[in-house]
Amino acid sequence: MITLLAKLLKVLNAEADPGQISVALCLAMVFAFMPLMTLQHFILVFLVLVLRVNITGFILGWMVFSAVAFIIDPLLHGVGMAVLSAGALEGLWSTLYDSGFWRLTGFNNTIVMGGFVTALVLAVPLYFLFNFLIRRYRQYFLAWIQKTRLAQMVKGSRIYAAYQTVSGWRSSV
Amino acid sequence: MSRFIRWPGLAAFFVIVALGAAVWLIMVDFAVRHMIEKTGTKAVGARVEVADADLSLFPLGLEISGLQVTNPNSPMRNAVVAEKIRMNFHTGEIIKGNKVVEDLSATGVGFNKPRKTSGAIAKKEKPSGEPETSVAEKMREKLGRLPSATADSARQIIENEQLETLKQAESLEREISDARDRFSKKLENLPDQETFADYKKRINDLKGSSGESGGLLGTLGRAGQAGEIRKDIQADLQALRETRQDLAATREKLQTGLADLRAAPGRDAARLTDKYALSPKGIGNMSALILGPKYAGWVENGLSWYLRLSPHVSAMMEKSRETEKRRRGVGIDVRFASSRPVPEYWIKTARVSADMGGMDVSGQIRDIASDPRVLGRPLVFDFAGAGADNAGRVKINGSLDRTDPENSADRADFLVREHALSSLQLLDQDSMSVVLSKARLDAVDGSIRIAGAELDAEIAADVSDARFDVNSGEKEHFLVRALASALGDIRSFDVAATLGGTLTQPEISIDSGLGDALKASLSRDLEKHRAQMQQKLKQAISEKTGGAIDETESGFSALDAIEQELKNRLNLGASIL
Repeated sequence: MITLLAKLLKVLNAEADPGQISVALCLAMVFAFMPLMTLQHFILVFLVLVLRVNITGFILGWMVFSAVAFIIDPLLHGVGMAVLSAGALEGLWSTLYDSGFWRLTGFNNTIVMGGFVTALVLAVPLYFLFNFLIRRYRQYFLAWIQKTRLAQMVKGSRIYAAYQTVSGWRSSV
Repeated sequence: MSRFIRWPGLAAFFVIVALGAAVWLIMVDFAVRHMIEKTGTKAVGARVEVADADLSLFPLGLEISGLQVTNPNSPMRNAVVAEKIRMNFHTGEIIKGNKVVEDLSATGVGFNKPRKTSGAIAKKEKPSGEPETSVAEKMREKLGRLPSATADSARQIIENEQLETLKQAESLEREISDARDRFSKKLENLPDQETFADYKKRINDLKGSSGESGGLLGTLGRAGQAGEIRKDIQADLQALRETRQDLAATREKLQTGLADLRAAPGRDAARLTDKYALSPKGIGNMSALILGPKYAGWVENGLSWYLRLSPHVSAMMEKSRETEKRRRGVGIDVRFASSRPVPEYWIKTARVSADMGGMDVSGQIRDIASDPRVLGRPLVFDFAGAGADNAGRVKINGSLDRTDPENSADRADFLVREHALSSLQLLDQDSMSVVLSKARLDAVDGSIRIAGAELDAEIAADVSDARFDVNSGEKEHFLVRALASALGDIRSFDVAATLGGTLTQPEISIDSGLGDALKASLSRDLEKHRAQMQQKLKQAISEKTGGAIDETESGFSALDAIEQELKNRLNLGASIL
C-alpha cells in the first residue's frame, strides 16, 4: 500500500522543472477562476494530464486560486459583465449564443467570462514570476527547510523511505 | 514530442472521464428526483414526492413515476397524483440551457386523493397581527350564513351575548347617581331651616323695636329694614324654586330613560332573534346559504392554484429572474438576442389522461412556456372525457394568453352532460351538515374569463334526481328538521352562479330554484319558530336584567327625597312671608 502511494507521489512529483511547475500553476489559475463546470475545464484537465506539467503543483494551485477566486468574485463578475456588454462584441456574442457548442463553454456567464479573461491576462506575467520565485526558493530556502524539524520528521517516515526506493531522492518541491 | 507529451496522461484522462460519467449515471436519477421534489415543494408550499425518476440519454428524456403533489390547504390529501410522466427533451436546446420538452405524456393523473402521511412542510411564521380571513370565508360572509343551530336555548344565547339592556341600565344608573350628587350638593348651598329661622328672628327683633321712640325717621328706618328682609326671603325662595324646576326637568328626562330601559329587553330579544333565528327575509337567498359554502370553497381552491401556478406559465417568471440577487461564485447568465429565440423552459405538447370525478378525461396542453412573449402564442388546452359506459361527458378548453404580460387574458369554457354525482358535502357546520347524497348533472355550462386581475365567470347547471341528507350535530334542532323535510321534497333544481371582482377579492353570487322551493316550504314554520324564540329570549333577558332595572329605578327615591326637602323649604319660606 505504501509502495503504491509512493508510486503515486512519484508520478505527481515528476516534471519538477521550474517551468513545468509554473505552467501547472497558471493552468490551475485558469481552472479555478471559472468556478462553474464548463467545456474549458475538461480541456484543462486534458492538458494537465497530457502535457508534462507538475500535477502536484496544479492541485495545490487549484486550491489556492479557488480561494483567491472567491475573494475577487466581484472583480471577476465586473470584468465578465464589461466584456459581455461591450457594444463592439455584441454581434460575436449573439452568434456564439445561438451555437450549442459555445454555450457549453458558458461564455455568457459573467464569472466564467471574467475569470477566463483575467486568468489569460495574468497567465504570462505570472509564469515568469513563478519561475523566478521557484528558482530563488531552491537556491536560498530549500537547504534550510530540509534542516527543519518538520522536514526531518517527514524524512524519517516509512512512506518517505518507500518514495526514495521507487524514485531516488531528488531535490524537488 | 515526448519531451512535452505525457502519453500515460492520455489514458488517465479517459479513465477519469469514464469514472466521472459512471458516477454521473449512477447519481443522476437520484439527483433529478431530489431536484423535482425540492423545486416542486418550494413552488407548491407543500410536500411534492416522486417515487422514481429515470433519465435516459439516447434519446434524451425523463420518466417520473409516482408523483404526488400535496394539497397545501389539506396536507392529508394530494392535490394531484400521476402514475407516470414521460418527457422527451430537445437535446440541442438542453445544451444551450433551455429546457425544451418536445412532448410530454402524463398517465394515471388523479385529483384530490388521500395521502398516507401528512404532506405539510414547516412554514415561516408570518409577523404577528390580525389572523387572516380566508378568501372563501370572506365570500361566505357576503353570501350570508345559516344561523347556528346549536344555541337553541335562550339562556345559552344570552350567556354568549352582550345585552344592550344591561349596558343601558348601567348608564342610566350612573346618570341618576350623578343627578343625586349634583342636587345634594346644590341643596347644601340653598337656604334651609336655619336660614329661615334667622329671618324669623330678624323680623321679630324688628317688631320688638317698633315700640321704641325714634320719631318719623325711626319708623321709616324699620320699614326699610323690613323691606330688605322681604327681598332676601323672596330671593332665597326664587333659588329654591329654580332648583326644584331643574330637578323636575332632570327627573323627567331620567324617567324617559327608565321607560326606554324597560323596553330594552324587547329590543335585545328582537336583535338576538334576528341573529339566531332564520327569518323568512333571511331565506330570501337560501340557495346561497346551502350551495354558497361549497362554491366558495371551489372558487378559493381554484384561484389559489391559479395564482400558485400562473407565474410558472407566464412572463412573470422572467421578471422575477431579472430581479434575482447574484450569488457569490455563480455569476449571471447574460442573454443575447437570438435569431431563434426559445423560452428558458418550454413544453411543446403535454398529453394528459386523468380521472376527474369518475370520468376518464384526456387531452392536451400546448406551449407551456416560461416566457410566452418569446413564442408569441398562448398556452392552449383542450380536454374531453366520458364516464364509464358513456355515462356522462365533459369538455374543457381554454387558453392562458400572456404574450402581452401587461394585458394577460385567460379563458376557460367547459360543459358537463349527464354526469352522476354522489356524496357531495354542501354544508358542514358544527350543528348540521347537508350532503347531496345523489344527483344527476343534466347539463352544466360555464365560462371563466380572467383579464389581468379581473374575474368574470358564469356557470349554469341543471340538476335532477337529487337526494339530500340533512344531519344535525349533537342536538336535534328545529331548523335541521325543517330543512330535512323541505329538501326531502326537492328532486330537481337549477343553479346560476357568477364570479366577479378580482383574483384577491372575488365576489360570488348564486341563484337557484332550490332557494325558491325552500323558501316556500320553510316560511310559515320559520315565522312561528321565530315568534316563539323571540318570546323565550325576551323572558330570559327580563329575568337576567330585571335586577339591574329595579336597582336603577330605586335610584329615583333619592331624587324624590331631595324634591320633598325642596318643597318643605319653600313652604317654610312662604310661611314667613
